[in-house]
Amino acid sequence: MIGFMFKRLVWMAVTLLVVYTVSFFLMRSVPGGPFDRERVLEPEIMQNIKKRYNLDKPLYQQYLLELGKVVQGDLGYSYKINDYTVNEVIREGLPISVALGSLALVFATTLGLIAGVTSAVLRGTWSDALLMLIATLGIALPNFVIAGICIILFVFLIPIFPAAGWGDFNQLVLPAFCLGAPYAAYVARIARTSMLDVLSQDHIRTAKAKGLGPSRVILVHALRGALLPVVSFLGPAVAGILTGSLVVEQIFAIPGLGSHFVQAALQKDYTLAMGLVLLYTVLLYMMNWFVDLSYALLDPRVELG
Amino acid sequence: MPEIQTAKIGETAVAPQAANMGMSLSQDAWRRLRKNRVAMLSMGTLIAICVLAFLTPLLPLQAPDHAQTELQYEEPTATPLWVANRPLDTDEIARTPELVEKMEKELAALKKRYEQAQTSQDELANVRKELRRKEAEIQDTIHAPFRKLGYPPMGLLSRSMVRARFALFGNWSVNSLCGRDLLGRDLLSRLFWGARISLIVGLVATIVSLVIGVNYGAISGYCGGWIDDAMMRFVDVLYSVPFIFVVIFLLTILGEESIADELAYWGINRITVFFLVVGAIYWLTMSRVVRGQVISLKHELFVESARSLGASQSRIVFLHLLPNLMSVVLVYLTLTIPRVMLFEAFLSFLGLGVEPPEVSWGLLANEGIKVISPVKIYWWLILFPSLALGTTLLALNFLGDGVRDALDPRLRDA
Amino acid sequence: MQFITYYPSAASYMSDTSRSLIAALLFACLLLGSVWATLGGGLPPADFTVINESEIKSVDPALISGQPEGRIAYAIFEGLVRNDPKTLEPIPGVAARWEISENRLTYTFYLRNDARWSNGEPVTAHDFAYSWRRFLDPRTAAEYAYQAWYIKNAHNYSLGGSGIEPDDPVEVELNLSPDAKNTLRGKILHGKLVRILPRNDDERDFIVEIGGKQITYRPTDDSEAADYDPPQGVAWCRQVLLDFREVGIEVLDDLTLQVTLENPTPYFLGLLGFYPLFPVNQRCLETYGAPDWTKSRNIVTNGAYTIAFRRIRDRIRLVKNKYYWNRENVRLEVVDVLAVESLTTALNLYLTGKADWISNVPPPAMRELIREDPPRNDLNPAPYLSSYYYLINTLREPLNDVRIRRALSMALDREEITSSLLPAGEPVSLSLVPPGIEGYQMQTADAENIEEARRLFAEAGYPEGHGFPRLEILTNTQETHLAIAELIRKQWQRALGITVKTRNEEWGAYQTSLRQGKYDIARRGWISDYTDPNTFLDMFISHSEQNSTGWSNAKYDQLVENARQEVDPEKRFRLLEKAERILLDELPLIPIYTYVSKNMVKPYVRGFYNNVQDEHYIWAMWIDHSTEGSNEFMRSGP
Repeated sequence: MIGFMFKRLVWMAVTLLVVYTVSFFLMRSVPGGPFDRERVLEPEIMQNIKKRYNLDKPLYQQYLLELGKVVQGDLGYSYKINDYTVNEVIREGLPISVALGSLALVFATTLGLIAGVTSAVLRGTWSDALLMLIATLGIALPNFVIAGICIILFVFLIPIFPAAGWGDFNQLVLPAFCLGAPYAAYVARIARTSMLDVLSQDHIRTAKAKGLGPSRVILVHALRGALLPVVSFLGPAVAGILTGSLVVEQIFAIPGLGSHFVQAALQKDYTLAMGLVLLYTVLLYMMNWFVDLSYALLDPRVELG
Repeated sequence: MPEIQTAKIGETAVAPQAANMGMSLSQDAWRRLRKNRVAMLSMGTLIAICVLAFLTPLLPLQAPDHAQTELQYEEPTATPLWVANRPLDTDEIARTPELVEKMEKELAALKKRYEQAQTSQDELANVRKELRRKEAEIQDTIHAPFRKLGYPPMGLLSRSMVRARFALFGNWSVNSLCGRDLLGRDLLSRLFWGARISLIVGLVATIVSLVIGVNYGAISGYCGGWIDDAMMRFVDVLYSVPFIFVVIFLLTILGEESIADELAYWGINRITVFFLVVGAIYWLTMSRVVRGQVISLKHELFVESARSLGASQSRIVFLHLLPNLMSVVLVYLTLTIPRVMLFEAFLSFLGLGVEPPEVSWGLLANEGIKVISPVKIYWWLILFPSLALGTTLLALNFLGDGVRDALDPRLRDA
Repeated sequence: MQFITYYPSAASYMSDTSRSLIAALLFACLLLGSVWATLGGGLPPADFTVINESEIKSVDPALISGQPEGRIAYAIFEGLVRNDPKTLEPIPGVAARWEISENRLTYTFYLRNDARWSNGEPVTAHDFAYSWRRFLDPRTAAEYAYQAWYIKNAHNYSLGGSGIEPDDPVEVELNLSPDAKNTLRGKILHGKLVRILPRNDDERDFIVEIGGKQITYRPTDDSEAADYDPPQGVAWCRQVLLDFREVGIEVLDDLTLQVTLENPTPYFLGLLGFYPLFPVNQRCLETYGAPDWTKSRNIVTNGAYTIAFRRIRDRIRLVKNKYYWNRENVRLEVVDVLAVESLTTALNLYLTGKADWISNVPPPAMRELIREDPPRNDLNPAPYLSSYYYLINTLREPLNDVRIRRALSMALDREEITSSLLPAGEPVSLSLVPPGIEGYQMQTADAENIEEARRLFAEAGYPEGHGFPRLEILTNTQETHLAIAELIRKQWQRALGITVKTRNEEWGAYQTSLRQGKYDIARRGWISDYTDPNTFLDMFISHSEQNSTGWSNAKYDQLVENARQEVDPEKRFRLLEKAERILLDELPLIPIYTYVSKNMVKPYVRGFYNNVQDEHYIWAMWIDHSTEGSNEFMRSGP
């Protein structure tokens, strides 16, 4: 177990190094930098700034110096927002993205399970077909189209949610729903399949034969069986929701990491963008790790290697 | 020459067997697929969409980039059904080859100068700049008559199709059945032209990823041992890279004027970068799946017999193993294309997708979403692009499910 | 877009019950987590909510430019004078009164004795001297530094090493330890410059005579100065500048400041009400260093408001500064300034009652809003002193040919642009200086004339556009600018037969591209900083920071300079008119239209006026729900 953790840690470091190296050289290959002010600078001042940021040194030295800082957890200053360091931006944005993501996950699982189970119970009927069509549509439509439709519906036609912003729970519901929708669709499809599998199994038939009521059979026996594959889908879903928040945060003007990243990339705020890429790499890695770990906990046949 | 002989024997002896196997497999699967009504309907839809997209320049549509500001935000209208547009300037097209020929000559001269120039760096750069300008000029001259009417840059085939369209229908085209946008451009025609880009993007990027993934997975699985270990470890590392972020980062960096100019010279625009980058992301899953298949196939009888007959390594991999991966590849293809198309839409949303005058469905959907306001909803600008994108992706998804079920009955939904 | 990999039933051999339990637990954790996280962010509502179009770059008044930053700066800082919210005439601010000398070169400001910083300390003349020196310091690299160049010797001071000549009195700033706060100044030595020794393109040595001794100073960075000994016979320093005592800023006593100008500048008082010359608190800056001093927990301000907190890309919450001298007349206690990039989202927030003032409306919605019947009581578009134009990079071939530039301008159908894309009634423009400045004679460029444009193109060697290289229009990413660029692209293609592309970049990136001259043609808008043609015309003098076109014309520079020295307002305007005539004949820019203010303000908001700069001060506003009839905003004419 400890060996496994250690190995994973080493690989995470390797991944981060790769990501860092690629981003660093990409960043340096474009003109511009911290001295990129709106004003033409005096030569002495320019030299001073270059020295301060080590830009007067050869590229490999810059690389090592910067790497040293990043290893110590210092991601530097944002190029474009003068008053903030990258670390501060992350400190503000991360809790917001996490809150949004967790609620989206809650939506994805509850809505998905309800739809999937209903659909399985009503197998072959029109409702089943309709639910599955909606589920597939949820996978097939881009996030921003779903968000646009939700805004028309729930902000203007039936005004129950605020249009955008961040601050109270109300403002979180709509974006979380839009973020969770495609995953709810996946969950629904998975739940339906596994539920049907379980329903056709022997012990359910036995239970039915024993005269248990249909609702009890569904709720206790079949649902439990259907939950398991859904739980194993959560890992990839978390990773997807993490990255999917880019769009939703933009549309609903939520100051999470996703919108910071998009704005940073578009405004060529390279330090901030790189810091966020590194952060996301760590998050993604942790998620994959967590998923593997939970498999091992849940399933004794899986060995950690 | 015993080697050649054995190879021949291998070919005659083994290949038919493999081919037979593949054939029987696919025939069986095809029969099952044909029974799946939803999948067949989806397939029909997809084929229709592809054919229409291919024939777009031939259809009596308005030019996709023809601005008519006086018709701004016109609602969908079917009366009159036919409207007249500006005619194609055939004289100008006729004059073009002559002009182009002249410029080609100048270009050749320039190239010669460039090769012979051994003077200063400055001069070399100058000549290079001139070269690029000349090449751009030739392109622009060819496109000019079409561009004036509001067509995006087109290849030779599409250009002759547009000419045929004008010969067939004159300057008559269908009225804006799907409404018009901010600049008064016809949404119907933009949808058709957008289909071309969206479909091409989906297909090409998927194929790029397929080629990388299949080869990588096959080599890894076939070689086994430490090579396999190392190659798969690399895939593991890449799995944890947040690619969406890397792609955005990359696209913004490549959008820098100087870099974009350099790339444009090599014929690389944003779309090409997109193909390459997306291809480079989506091969990961493919390579894992293929590797698994190859490992299990490796010990099958027909592979063993080919090996015992002395067939070369690459021959075994490419001739005997790969054809048997068809089913996996097919399923993968139908599942990846929608994802790539969604990804393109996502980039369009961020303003990193196709560049005007090109259009894609993602771009159109985004234009629709941007003008949503409580004051006025230009519903056609959201509805039709979403419908086009949704239908295609829905069909692809259903077809993918169908293909998977047909090829691998064990995975079937109950 | 989603990376979903479904591991088909990565099965399952722990007991079913315990696994369901784990799942349920996980689920509960998630729900709790999200609720907890949002409750933490729950805020008491503000009295007044404004939507700022973008996340601001900084709150440091010396480093900013642009309207969104300005809205914050005007709320939290106050200069010697304020601008009247209605007429924009200078009214007393920190200075209670002032005297102007006969020759209009010397201004003496008498500061009010009750002006306070938000920490309770008095605002003194020293604060202004400190802030203005910092603003001019080349190390601050203030973009707007040229707004202070009207002060005697300020220009030379802000040029640093390039602004001094042998025999000038100079000051040498010595290095500090690299750990010192970056806002501190090194020790200052005063002396006389003897000679400048160029070492290479970027570096120079300065030989300075201090106390009868000649010392060679070499500017360097603090860490280098700390780590290495200077070469033989050379001393390290941070920089060598003109002696600040030469600059026309003099503190007569704690509450009296005297400013001497280079030339009589009729709009100088107006400039003092403009944020670049606002004061910052020396103690705050030097205690925390930059950028930490701008954090809400550290910042000390002297305006009507101070920052309660700032959440990046979300909001800045302002609360009333309880030490502000005019606090009785500041009626909004808590103000939220939201950073919302998307115009549509901003409009949605306004219409759902989450915002009280938005400064821009997306054109498709404006089309409908302006046609509403009865007319809305919260929308009153009015032209203001501003100009929307395309810059031409005259360093690039063939745009260096004036015939091409004129042809590009003549080939535009401006009516089509404004009538179809600008629904608020924006007037077309053929000049840089917009109408509305009394006594100034409008100058115009050639009107639309496609025939003539084609002829000019042919004359320049590009008949029917043949051989003309691809042009690229650069805009910043905003729907209106993109649409205008698209339409102009089509107009040029149609009229001239050339190939035009468009490129868009986010604001920050776009500004960088502009400044570095990485464009063919670029969209630009300019809003007057003060009510005078000079605010537009001095952008195009050769050495202006704003002139990124590469265009330079000695006669033009001379005319603008002469106007600067002219005392008679009549003659001054004639000179400026002549200058604009040259500009519009040479056309390093293509005028397109004049902006119209597009504010939407709730009817209960009072103290909001349409004015010639579309500048609105939060400190002047208040909310009165009992308002009947139209408020000041709807009453104020264009």
